[in-house]
Amino acid sequence: MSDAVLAIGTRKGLFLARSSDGGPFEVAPIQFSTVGVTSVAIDTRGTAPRILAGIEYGHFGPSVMYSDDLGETWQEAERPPIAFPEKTGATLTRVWQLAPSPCEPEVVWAGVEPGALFRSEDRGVTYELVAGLWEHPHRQHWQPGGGGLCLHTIISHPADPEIMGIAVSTGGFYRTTDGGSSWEAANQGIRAPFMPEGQQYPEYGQCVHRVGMHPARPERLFLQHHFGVYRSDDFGGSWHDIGSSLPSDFGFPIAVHPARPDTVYVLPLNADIDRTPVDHRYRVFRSDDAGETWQPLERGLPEGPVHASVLRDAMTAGEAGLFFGTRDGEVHWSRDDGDTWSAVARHLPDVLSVRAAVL
Amino acid sequence: MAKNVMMVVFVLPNSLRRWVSGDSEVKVFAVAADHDAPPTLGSALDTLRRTHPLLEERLRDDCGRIRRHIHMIVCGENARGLGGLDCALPPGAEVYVMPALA
Repeated sequence: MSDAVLAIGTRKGLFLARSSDGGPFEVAPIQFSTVGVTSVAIDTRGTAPRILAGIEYGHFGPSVMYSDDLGETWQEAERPPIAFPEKTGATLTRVWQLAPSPCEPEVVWAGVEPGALFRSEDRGVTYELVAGLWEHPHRQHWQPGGGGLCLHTIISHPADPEIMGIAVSTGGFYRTTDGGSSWEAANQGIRAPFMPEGQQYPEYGQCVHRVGMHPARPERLFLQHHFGVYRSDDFGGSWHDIGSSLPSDFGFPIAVHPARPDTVYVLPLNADIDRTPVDHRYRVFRSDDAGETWQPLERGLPEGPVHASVLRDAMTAGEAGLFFGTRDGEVHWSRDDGDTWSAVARHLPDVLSVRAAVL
Repeated sequence: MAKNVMMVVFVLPNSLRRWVSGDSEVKVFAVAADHDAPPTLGSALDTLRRTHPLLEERLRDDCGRIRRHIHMIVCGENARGLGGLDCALPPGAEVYVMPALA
């Protein structure tokens, strides 16, 4: 295994960590100290890796920074990298997601608050609003979840740039087959128990927390909802519940194993009114049969009672391993598919976003 | 008759100087909207958007509104109480930019 880099976005700064030959990660000093790093991405498509960070200056608003030297130096576009056209009357509140396209070499997608998708064609330096989604008639009816009206998930088909999916909380899952010109809600089968009786399977308005896909089987999606864990085998055409055997089907992140399309991970919390880990232990639950059965994974994770949640963008699975970061500043790593864990960092600010890549 | 054009100085706190190479001040020309009107804070910020877009982005949002936690002090008073972006600027105006205490 060659070198790996880990990017940890927190409420008060960015932490980068490096690992050599599968060894432990060493965390470098904080960057962007006191600045919220709400999203991170590691783009390994080019000749040199590029790290992207969606940041939030507090009083001074959000922006996107990028580094082409693994965080030694950072650049910002010469004009505001993400800005709503004046005619929209909207203003950027937060960059929730940065996602390099797997099939268009220079394209990076950004999911932002309030509920919008932006596209970059210069590898994440500057972005333009995707008008097809912004002008969707459903958009005016989307309601912000507890975290805001966030577009937090971007699913790109591995080979066909015309096919994409996004998720908004609370708008639901939407998909396009024409590269973003038009979008359709794709939430059939996802129950919204917060709606009145008889209206609990709406066309849209679901509080989707996160969606995952494996590139080897792109028609299959896994979804963590505010109430329930779901799977779709037709790219969102229909969904069915796979969370009934979990100790709780409430949580935020969901991640798919990088090499095994049927292996998926969640981290359950007690309930929406009790956002603490089940049994007050950090436990990742893994299914190796696409959600039919689940097993808890906890070896190496803290034994004492813990009380913090894990946010939707704070778990990632890739060639470098499986990682999650907590709101009490811990980051844990498994290099054996979740069977055993070790701590990468403790006492960080609350972790908002985690990404790792092998260089 | 030509429109009024006036030099305006934005005086910046430390936390904003990173976007202007460490300078403590930025000077721009504010152009009045009408022949018989003085330049306004909004017109000065419009110029700043062209000359220093990354700094201006930190002061105003995408819609051109002064960010909630940014104060601009003109002649010793918060511009919000002087008409906000329509605040008329006197000759030689200095605009002190102050992030809100929080």
